[in-house]
Amino acid sequence: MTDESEALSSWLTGRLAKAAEPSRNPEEIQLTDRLRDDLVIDSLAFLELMVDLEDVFGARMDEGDLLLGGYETVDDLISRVRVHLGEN
Amino acid sequence: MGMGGRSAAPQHVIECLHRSIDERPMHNAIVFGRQRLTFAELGDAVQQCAEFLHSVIASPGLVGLRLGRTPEYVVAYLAVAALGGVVVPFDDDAPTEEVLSEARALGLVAILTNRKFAHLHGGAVIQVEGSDSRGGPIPWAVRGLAPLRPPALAQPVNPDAPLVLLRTSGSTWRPKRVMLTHRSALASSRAHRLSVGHGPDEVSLVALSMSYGYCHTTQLVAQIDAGGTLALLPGTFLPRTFGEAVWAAGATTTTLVPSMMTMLARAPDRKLADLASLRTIVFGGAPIRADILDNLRVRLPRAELIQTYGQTEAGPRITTLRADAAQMRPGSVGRAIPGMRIEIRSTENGESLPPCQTGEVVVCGDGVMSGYFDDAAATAEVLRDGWLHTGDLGWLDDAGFLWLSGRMRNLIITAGLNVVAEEIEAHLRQVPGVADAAVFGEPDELRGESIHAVIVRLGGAAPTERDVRTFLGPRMQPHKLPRRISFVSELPKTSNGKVDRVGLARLRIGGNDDR
Repeated sequence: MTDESEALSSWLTGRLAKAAEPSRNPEEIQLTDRLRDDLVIDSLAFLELMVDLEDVFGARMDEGDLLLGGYETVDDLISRVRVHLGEN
Repeated sequence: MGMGGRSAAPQHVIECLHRSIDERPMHNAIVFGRQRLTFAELGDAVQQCAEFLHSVIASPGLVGLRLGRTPEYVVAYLAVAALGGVVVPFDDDAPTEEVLSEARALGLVAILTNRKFAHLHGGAVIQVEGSDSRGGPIPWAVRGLAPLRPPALAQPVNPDAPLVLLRTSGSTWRPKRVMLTHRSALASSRAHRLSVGHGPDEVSLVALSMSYGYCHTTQLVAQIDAGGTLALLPGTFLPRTFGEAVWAAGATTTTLVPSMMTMLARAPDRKLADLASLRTIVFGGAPIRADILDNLRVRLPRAELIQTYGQTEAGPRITTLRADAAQMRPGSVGRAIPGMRIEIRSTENGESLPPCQTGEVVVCGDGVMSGYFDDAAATAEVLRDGWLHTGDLGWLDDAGFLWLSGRMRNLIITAGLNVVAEEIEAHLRQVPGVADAAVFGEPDELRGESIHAVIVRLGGAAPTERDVRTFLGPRMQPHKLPRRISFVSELPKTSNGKVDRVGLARLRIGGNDDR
């Protein structure tokens, strides 16, 4: 994993931990956690996260990737964003 | 219009469309990303769609639209109206089961959708290929349908015929449809335009759901009537995508809910730079925080922030608060729009109250609905002697400005969307192992309020929070899902045995400990 990829993963888990209901510590976030059912991320919380992601990493997510419904787990999200930022 | 000007304003939406086609054929009617449709082109598309629909459905009746925020929605809406049918809009995110059961209950003759969809019992499902916001013709135009007969649009028109059935949460959880006639929708939209100072050259950007009454009347109907441009936000609302759409369309106005304003207030300056063409931002649907307004007032100095209050049943528009008045009366929702009367009535004896006394907000005007569709009992509860009982509590000052102070209904407004507590509670009681449940609205910075569910388990049973969410997920629209779930051994009750909602909110339950 590159440094940037690692930075992305830890940024995303940090944000998910904060956005989760109830909020929790980043180390409690599992890759297999379901965004909606386990972390209780709703569409508005997800959009906020996407807005900040675009700002922090200079990414520009495609329309289809902005919707919470497109992701099941934390792992799905991290993988997709990573592809988007052109990393492996 | 005065004497010698245009003849009396038409009272039927299709007459309004014709007037706009005649007077401004080359003016943009719809902007969707890079796609542009002039009024002349819109008229042709509506004609083709109406002929197509006419060939598919025997008689005009209730026609469902589940087409998202697209040009197809506008075309299909007008085509249904041109055929003398009634439009029944569905939310884009409504679960398919919910759409189908409501479609059956209403007796839709057809549903037009751009989604995969099961068959509709007793009606036609018409699949619509989505048009592309990057350009290209809209689907009706590529069907190559030649005009079949004299224009469907020239049929006799009745302004008092129903135009649309809008979904509402109403005062109980049973889903209901608010019936607006051509005349009432036009009355509400014209009074709205007068109250916010909109002329015929607005470019109005739609960022909310097209099925939302607010957007329906103040943007869709208003722009068709005014001959102005309706711009549609392609895809999801983010400060970036919204800014791009404003810039691309040269939007002069938009209609937002407070959660969207909050997202804009948090966006960096460079993202707000794209919003320079906006002269007015009209907002409503929920209370808004003063610091969000202050933030946007300073950072978007050319845009007037205009607060509005209404409810779907009212057409939906009731009051407007222009920016100059807001300086003098922060916290008010403004004065009645033209043609709308407001009274405050005692919740105990129904008597009209003088200024500065709090009671139920009761309104009367041409925009008010004719009733709930096929539900005389529910209609009679809220519409009495021509007055609509809003279920909101408030008071008027001496100058006629309205201040809202609470609700008589168990309504939670989350991210601008109304949710009735009883509906969520009914769903929760169906979860295996749940004995009883109650929900209430909790203050939430981004959403205004968020839904907190408090559950009592059956003895010995142990549904976890995860079990509850897994059960509810496929059955409810996402915005109705509780944000927090707590478990208690019993619910606080009032002396007459009802759930004590005030007591519930005061419990300050910490409780996900026993998940």
